[in-house]
Amino acid sequence: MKIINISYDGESGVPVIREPASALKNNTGTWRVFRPTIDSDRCVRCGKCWVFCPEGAIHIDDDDEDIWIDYDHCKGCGICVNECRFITAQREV
Amino acid sequence: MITGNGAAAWGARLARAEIIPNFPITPQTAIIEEIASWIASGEMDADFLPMESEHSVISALAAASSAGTRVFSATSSQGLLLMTEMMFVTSGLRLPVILVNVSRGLSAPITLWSDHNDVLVQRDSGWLQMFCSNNQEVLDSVVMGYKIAENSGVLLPMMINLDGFVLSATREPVEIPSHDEIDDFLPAYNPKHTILDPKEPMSMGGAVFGEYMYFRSQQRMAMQNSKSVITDVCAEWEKMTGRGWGRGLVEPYCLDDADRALLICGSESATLKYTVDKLRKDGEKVGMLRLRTMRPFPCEEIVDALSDVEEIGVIDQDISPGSGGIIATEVKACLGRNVTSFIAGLGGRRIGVEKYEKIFGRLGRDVEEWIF
Repeated sequence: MKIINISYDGESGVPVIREPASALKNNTGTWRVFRPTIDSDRCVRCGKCWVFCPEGAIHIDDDDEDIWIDYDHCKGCGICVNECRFITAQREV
Repeated sequence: MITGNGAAAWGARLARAEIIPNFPITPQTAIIEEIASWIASGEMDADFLPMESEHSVISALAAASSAGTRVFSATSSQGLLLMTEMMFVTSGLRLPVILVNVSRGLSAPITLWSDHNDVLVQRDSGWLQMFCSNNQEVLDSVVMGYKIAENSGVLLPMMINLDGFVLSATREPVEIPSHDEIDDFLPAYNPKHTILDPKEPMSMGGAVFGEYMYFRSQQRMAMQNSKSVITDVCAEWEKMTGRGWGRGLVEPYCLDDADRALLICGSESATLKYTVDKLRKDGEKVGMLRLRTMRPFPCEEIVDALSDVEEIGVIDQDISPGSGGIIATEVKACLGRNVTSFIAGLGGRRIGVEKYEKIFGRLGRDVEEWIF
């Protein structure tokens, strides 16, 4: 029996990832149902949300000026909302 | 004179397997006992890892293989079934693990004796599957197994089956090659495709979405590639030892002018060969085809060997209730014609020469017949 439509790629056919941090290319933010929002005026930049975020989706700049959420990778798990009174969640529309 | 279990252990020793995770189960236990005694006495340089279940054994096999070591273990029956989940992980990660299965019927009710349902449950797991007919073939197949599985065009795990008690506990003369011979034949395992190496880190088996189908297609092609690799390795082995085992996927016996033939796998083929010889003395044109590999399924080879044979029967030491003999079903699909399906020898029930003679007299009907 002949097999059609597939060709063998040898070692590239093995399911391994050699490039570090390539998960960044996978925009898992589309999974989110609840969208967290930081009230950056009242936020004191304590970094607790940054520590707890399992996705590394919270960013604080070097001089503590700015804090933001990377919505391309935030899955909306709500852990930050649970940790901080200045982060609230709204249903995605 | 060594047992089938002894032959399997010698295969692992000659191939210089380095990590032996294990869990005891009848009728396989003597394999790991033999290896344990060699490691204890210093005759074999390997790590012996007693695990808490067969699921852990196969997990350790996969982990140690992905660390770049050559691994070996053995199991039977319920133990093989407990490995099922990780069987698919091992083949999916393309790890050339060698696992010997000493076949034994599945519970309930409990049987300790041989049938092939345990192996055939794992038929779709992406492992190469090899059936042995005698103890010499067990030793040879384990050593050849590493060379086949580790080939860069294959990179799939292999299960080598020997029949419980009939081979596992029976002593036969077995020629044991020297370490030097095997070292020349089988180079050290040096993987690049899946390897835990801090200098070149990689993430293995991560989540994929649509790409899943691509990786399955690659497994399919690797299985297809393995056919020529098996043939080549068997030819090389034949050159070295004089034993080619039918050069790979099937072993034809007295088929050139046969008008009736039976297809079989495993150790029962020895009794069937004897029956063929006996009937040939009486002038009957009978023959036999022994299936050595269940995966890859040797479809072209079966068609080549049996296309001129008028009446074909398949002996299954297995049953898929609600469908029929598993091997007969596959043989029908590849030949595109009816064969007579015989279910025999389940749970080690004796078949024997008289029953084979009866079976040869009952070919040519499109039925499934149980030979008790």
